[in-house]
Amino acid sequence: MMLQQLLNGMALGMAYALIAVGYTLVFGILRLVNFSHGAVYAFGAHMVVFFIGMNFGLLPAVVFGILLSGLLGVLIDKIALNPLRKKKSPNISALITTIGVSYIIQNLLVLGFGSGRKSFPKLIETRSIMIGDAQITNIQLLMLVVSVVLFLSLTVLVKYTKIGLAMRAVEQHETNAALMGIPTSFIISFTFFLGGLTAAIASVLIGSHYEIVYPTMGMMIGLKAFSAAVLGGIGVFYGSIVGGLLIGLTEALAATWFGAEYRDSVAFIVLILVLILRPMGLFGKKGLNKV
Amino acid sequence: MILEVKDVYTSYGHIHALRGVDLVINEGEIISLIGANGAGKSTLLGSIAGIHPTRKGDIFYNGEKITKNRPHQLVKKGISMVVEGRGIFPRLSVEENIRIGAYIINNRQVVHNTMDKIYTLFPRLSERKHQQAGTLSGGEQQMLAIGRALMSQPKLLLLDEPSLGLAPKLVKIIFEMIQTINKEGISILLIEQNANLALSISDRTYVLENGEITLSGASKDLRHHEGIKKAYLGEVLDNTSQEVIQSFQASNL
Ligand SMILES: Nc1ncnc2c1ncn2[C@@H]1O[C@H](COP(=O)(O)OP(=O)(O)O)[C@@H](O)[C@H]1O
Ligand SMILES: [Mg+2]
Repeated sequence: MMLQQLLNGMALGMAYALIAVGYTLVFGILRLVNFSHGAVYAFGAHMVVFFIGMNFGLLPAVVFGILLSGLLGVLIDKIALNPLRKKKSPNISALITTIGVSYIIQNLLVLGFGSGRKSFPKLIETRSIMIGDAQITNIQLLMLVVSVVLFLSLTVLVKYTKIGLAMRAVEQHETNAALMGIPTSFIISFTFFLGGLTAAIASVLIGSHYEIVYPTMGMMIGLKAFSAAVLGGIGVFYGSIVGGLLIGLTEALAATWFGAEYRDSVAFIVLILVLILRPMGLFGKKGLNKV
Repeated sequence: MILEVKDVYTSYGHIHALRGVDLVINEGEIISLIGANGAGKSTLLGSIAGIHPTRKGDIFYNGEKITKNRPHQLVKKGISMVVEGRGIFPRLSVEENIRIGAYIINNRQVVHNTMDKIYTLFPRLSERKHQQAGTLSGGEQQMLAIGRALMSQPKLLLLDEPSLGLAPKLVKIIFEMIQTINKEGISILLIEQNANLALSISDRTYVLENGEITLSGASKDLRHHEGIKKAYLGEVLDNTSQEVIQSFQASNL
């Protein structure tokens, strides 16, 4: 029973981590909490459903849905956030804008797809794998594997590639980065693209686990992932992973011990406790205090 | 003429930092820009480098109008700037800082060779290449900033107060470095608070006051200019600075 909850918690936690990393990417480069992230997550899953409805076939539908979500991330930055940066608006305006954008996207999804729950196609035939007394579905396993692979790729990208180096430079000082010949707007767009991409990958994985999608599907999970990011120390990559796993695991355990109706609040109780003890999050750096 | 600044106005909201500035740099020259705090020196460099857009007037680089170019485009064209306070990335390693200076260069071999050259020029950076740049001393950070600016293989180097906060010995090293760089064919526009130093290293000097050029000419002439003597050459110098200045004057006469 215990092992079972640990497995469930881990799979869910890795998905949180995957969403959390999107908050961390954008926060890292702009010191901005991008609250439209959860809506991009919902958008991704809906696009996949849409493309499958158009007879694209499963794999192309998934690929197109994910790429389109990446582009939506770029579009949000270009249309709503970049103009604010150009006018040197305070960060709080951008923050509120992302909340507004989140509702616009969700309303557009309601307009296009209706507000109801739609079934999400199975990526693969569900099968259970026994580990001792506990079982894990192959979809949960896929969630774990894809998340781990994605995290490794992102780490390599940020640490060892030229564009990753440029991202880290822009993160530290945008003007000085521009003086190095770095096209900073492109680097910021690229970061939003990665954020949208990871959100959609997470929603495809989680969508196929629960087999259901709806326009507001990103609200609660987005908040939890944001908590995971803050918990680990927002702006720090591996912090998102630890934060995601921690929230996923506590949630799964809370569901067993106290009943499923408490699972949502437990995530936030953990967050509040950690922040009281460590305001910067578990791995957070000091001095990151803009919004 | 590698650079021509023509009647440039730049403002920050209601503060008019530059009011009709004209300035010319010929290929291979070292030009110094002197003036009191707040005169607009940094703003002028920033306007040339594309980080402080001009309100009026034009800037030409090798005859091409570059007034509306973004900073990263100007780096590609061959203009590289070291900002006041150095502007290194403290949480990147020394080597990463240098590497990022070569962002616009796609040929790995070229990057590698330029990096070797920078390390030969500044052996101290080579010893500390894996250190976080934020842990370097002020002088080392200035070397890093200059070395990094050279990685894009510029034709024009803009230096904003490279001697700021450095001990005289280090100022000497940095200024000798500037001459070495210039001898390799890179034109230099240098902001320097110490007018003696500025006049002794450069071919020509411009004096900026309240956003306007009030005086300009060959540096060796300006050294004897009464107005300059009164306004800028009054300060008492320590021995090392004297030495530096004398050696530069000797080589520039
Ligand atoms: N970012 C800024 N915002 C507003 N005013 C500025 C800014 N930077 C400089 N200034 C003002 O513009 C004028 C010129 O500044 P600056 O170019 O830095 O002078 P200098 O480099 O000669 O000391 C000063 O009055 C300064 O207060
Ligand atoms: Mg200045």
